[in-house]
Amino acid sequence: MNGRSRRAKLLGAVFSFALAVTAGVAHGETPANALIVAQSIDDAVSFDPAEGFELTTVQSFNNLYQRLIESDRAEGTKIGPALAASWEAGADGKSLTFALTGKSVFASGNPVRPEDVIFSLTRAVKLNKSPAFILNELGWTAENVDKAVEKIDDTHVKLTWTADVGPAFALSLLTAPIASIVDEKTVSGEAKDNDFGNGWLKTNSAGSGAFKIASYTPHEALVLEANGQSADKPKLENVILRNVPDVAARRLLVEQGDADIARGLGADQIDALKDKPGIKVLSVPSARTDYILINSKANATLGNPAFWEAARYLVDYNGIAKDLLRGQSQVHQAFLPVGFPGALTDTPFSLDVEKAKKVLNDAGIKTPVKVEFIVFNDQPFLSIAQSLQASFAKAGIELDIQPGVASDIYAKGRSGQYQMTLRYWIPDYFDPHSNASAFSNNRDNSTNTAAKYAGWVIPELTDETLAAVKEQDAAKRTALYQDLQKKVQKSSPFVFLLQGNDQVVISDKVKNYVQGLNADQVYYDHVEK
Amino acid sequence: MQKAVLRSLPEPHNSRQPRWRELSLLGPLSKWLMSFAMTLLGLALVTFAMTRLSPIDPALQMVGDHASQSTYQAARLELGLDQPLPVQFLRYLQQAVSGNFGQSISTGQPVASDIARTFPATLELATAAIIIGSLIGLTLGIAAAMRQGGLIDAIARFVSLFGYSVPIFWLGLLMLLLFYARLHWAPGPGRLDVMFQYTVKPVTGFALIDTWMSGKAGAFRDALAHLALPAIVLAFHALAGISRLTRASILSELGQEYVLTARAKGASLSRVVFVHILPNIAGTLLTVIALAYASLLEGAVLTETVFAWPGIGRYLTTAMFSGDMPAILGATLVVGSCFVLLNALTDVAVARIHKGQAR
Amino acid sequence: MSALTTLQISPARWLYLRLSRSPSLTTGAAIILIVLFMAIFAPWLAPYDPTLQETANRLMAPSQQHWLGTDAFGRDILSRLIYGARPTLLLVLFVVLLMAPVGITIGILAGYLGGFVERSLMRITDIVMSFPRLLLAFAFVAIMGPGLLNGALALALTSWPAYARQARAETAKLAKSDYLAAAEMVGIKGPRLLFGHVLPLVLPSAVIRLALDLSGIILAAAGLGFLGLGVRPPTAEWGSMVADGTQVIFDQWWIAATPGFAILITSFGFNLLADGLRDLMDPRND
Repeated sequence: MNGRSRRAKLLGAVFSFALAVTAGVAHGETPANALIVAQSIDDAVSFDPAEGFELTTVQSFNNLYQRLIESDRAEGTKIGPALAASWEAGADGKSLTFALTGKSVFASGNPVRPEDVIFSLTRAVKLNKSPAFILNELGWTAENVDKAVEKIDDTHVKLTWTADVGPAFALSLLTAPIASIVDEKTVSGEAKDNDFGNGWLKTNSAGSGAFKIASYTPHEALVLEANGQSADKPKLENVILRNVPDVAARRLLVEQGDADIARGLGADQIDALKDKPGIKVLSVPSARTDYILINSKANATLGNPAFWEAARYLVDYNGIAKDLLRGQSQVHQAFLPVGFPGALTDTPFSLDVEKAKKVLNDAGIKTPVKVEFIVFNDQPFLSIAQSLQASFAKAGIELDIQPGVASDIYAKGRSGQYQMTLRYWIPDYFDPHSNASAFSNNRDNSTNTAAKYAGWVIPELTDETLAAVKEQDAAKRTALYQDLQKKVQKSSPFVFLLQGNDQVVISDKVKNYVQGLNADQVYYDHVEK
Repeated sequence: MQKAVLRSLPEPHNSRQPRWRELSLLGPLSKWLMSFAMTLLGLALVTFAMTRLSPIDPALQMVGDHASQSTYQAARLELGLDQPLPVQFLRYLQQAVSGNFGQSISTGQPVASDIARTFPATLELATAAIIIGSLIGLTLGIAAAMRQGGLIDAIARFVSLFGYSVPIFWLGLLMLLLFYARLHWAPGPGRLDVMFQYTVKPVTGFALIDTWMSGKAGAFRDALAHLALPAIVLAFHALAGISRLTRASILSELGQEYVLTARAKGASLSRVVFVHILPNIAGTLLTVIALAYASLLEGAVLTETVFAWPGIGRYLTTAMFSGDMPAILGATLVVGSCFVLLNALTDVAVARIHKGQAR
Repeated sequence: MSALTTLQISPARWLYLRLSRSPSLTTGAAIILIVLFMAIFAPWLAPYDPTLQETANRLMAPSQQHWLGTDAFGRDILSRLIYGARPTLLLVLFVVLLMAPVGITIGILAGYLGGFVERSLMRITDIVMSFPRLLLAFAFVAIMGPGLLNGALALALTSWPAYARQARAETAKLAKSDYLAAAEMVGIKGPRLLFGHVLPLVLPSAVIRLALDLSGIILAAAGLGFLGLGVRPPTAEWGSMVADGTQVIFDQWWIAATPGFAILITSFGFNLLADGLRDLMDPRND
């Protein structure tokens, strides 16, 4: 058609004009003293360690702040010194005394004092933001926390607690990001309306970590700048986390050298990048587990343990892990992720439609059954859900996928207004109790746990869970958690499917990037280019 | 029949039932302001009602699922969700009037400052698009009318039909694929290269102006290059309506007596069109361009999503996906107000032009 | 606007004559008929079950087995494309069924009753007309939850005023005419008068307006799908198919390109049809 070629010419002319200007825009070079990370930062809400509880912010805390103690980068269960050089448990088993190094300095130049520790921990409890429940585990409340953290002398600070837990557990709570120590002098100067500086810390930092926040623009970029006061001065001047919401674009940026690191790519993007020169794919196991949550109170069928059992045989575990999420997850069927002490690694279940049908039939469950299945409107959940939809259908269980925003799904979970849902769990601190307290803990529906959302009342398992957290002997404790996992694995309204595996694409120029098992263990301080 | 041409645009108000024009000619500015305020109030009411009818719990969205019950209760109090609905609405209105739209759940920042940051990006994009769209649209429309039934007319018709029919997000994707991924002509998504993003001080919020003022030629070129692709895609949408209406208005004027007289006196076609007709239909053209502009502000939602353009449209979509009610409410209200304001101002301007011509 | 009513020949013959003379009308009608045919006979036309997953054969390029390749779940894209015509047309139908009756009823009531009722109804119409349609529709679905019906409701919610205005103007004209006065004299009143005698006269122009609106509705519906606010998975829908394809756009571009093309063609068909209709009504454009 003649008209078409004319139109093409016309458009061509417009383009040449607009794009002539762009000729010369360089591709493929990132500044030598800055690390450019392409990822989504749309989730970021607050960079205040007492509030931030999203992936992006949690991943930044280890670079901005230090805690009294820290999880080992390679082996998360090992706890090492950070701001505290040493610590000692009290004779009663309900207190810890920390000796500060006395040498640490905040980015502002202020030294780290016991007052900063007291301020940081008490404000975290009093602000009562999302992660506050972690410190609440110690029995700390806004009323009693002032007495619980006290200064002994200029380098010693003592923590006491009322909850029935031991010092080992208390220490693992203190490795969580909420236990980060902020600069009391700086933050108090920015406080408004008794907010303990929360409003200011949302977009600024006041820590002793290797970096400080240079600028943060929501939905656009987080720019970190080397903290000149840091004892262990970082190799790079800047780290720029650039928001690239679209995974395909993220992939292209790292492929063309416009970004040094790309995070959160899908399996297809990783596949496309695998053999490209100049980049490598780093696979880091993560502590995230994906599971199906069944509401046992929704109706008689869903409350029937036979349905729970059948569901275990209706998941195409290998199809999901191998074909759909290639390398991004591995099959995992217990509530503790690999890397946590006592995690079960066996996988007793696999896709077996005939077996599932028999289990359903023996229990007198009539098929077809229609089940509402609410799912996060995001990947990989929608992909996993569609695979489940196909495999459950083979046994006559029709899953009606209903995508929703996170809060909607949480709300339905809390109020029990759902039938079945696909969820994930990331431990909040490096201790098996973080998971056990969710999955094997529901005495009488009085606290919000995953078991409560499933309508699964389990006083005996709850007793075991609470006994496990009290246990001081490490080996005995591990055995207790193994036993709990076996019971939950065998029969419960949870079907554990996968453990996550973070795939980070890194340019060959980048050296010494470290990422650990838990969500917060992302370290930029040793990175070189 | 002009209305029909504008079908994907909102109804022009200058046609059969003059509303604002009538009011403004009557004189009292207050009356005009009243109608404007009522429309805004209606918009606020509808958006507020939507957010409160929603099954999404903003407090839970804020604290997440691991948080304790007491944290959740504190968040509810903070958001004022414990108040009765009419009280919440009045409080919302009161605060909105003073420019306070509450705090965004997904960014943790005041919605007003989020909007102040993102809106210039959208304005920049929509303005660039309307400039490109009007230039091409007017040229195409005039050329088509002067060669009615000819090749250019056919091309113009095809282009405008295509512009009306093409899903803009899809066009944007294909453009990115071709010009960014394959040909490497255009830079990727975003507004400014990371090299410049933190060296150029944001003063006005408009990347072109900021980079120009910074005196860095490279930065300015980079900003322009980032703007080109999304602006062209968005312009396509506007171009369709503009070229069509230009053509139709010129054609309808060609049959008018004053034109026939001018032609009889020996004026050339181009002289008639440029000297006699265009000034006469300026009001109509202004309306269509202004309405296209308003619809671009709103159409930017999809384009910004595709190009990761950090404007209010993308802000709104991210807010939608995280159930961020204060942000959805605030952004809809602000874009909606601009939309309403543009509509209203256009009517006033058109009325002025007509009045001037009547004299 | 009155071309339909003033013609003295039968509508069928009139249509035939017109179709044969207007290429855009014919082409547009043909495209829409083909899409309709695809939607209705999808189960017979589609080579595969559109929801059948074969994860071993995912993201395949077009081949003999799969003419348009397969998507990220190994589903046949051609089959999904054919089935995808269904939700699109269904949504359009819902919107039409929701918005036209509401708009026309409000318009007729306002035009006939006049006075205070007219002023307040038209004031509301004006207000809603000034709303940003697309934006409100997106916000509505995002807030109320995705789904076909919510999408239709959202689009209808903001599109009715144009019909109300048009119907009001025509009713007001009719109210002054002898026709209605005669009807009232023989005792036809109230709803019977309005819907038995006024409605049929108002309807033709509303139908034409509808034809003009349809392609816009299709694009808006596709936009909803693209943003993940359309029908629920695994139902095939063009807009959401494009969204799925964006993940792999730089490698398997055809996955996003083909459903987008289907949207373009369908919308183009409606536009051609409307264009043809407009030409009929306004000879100046011929």
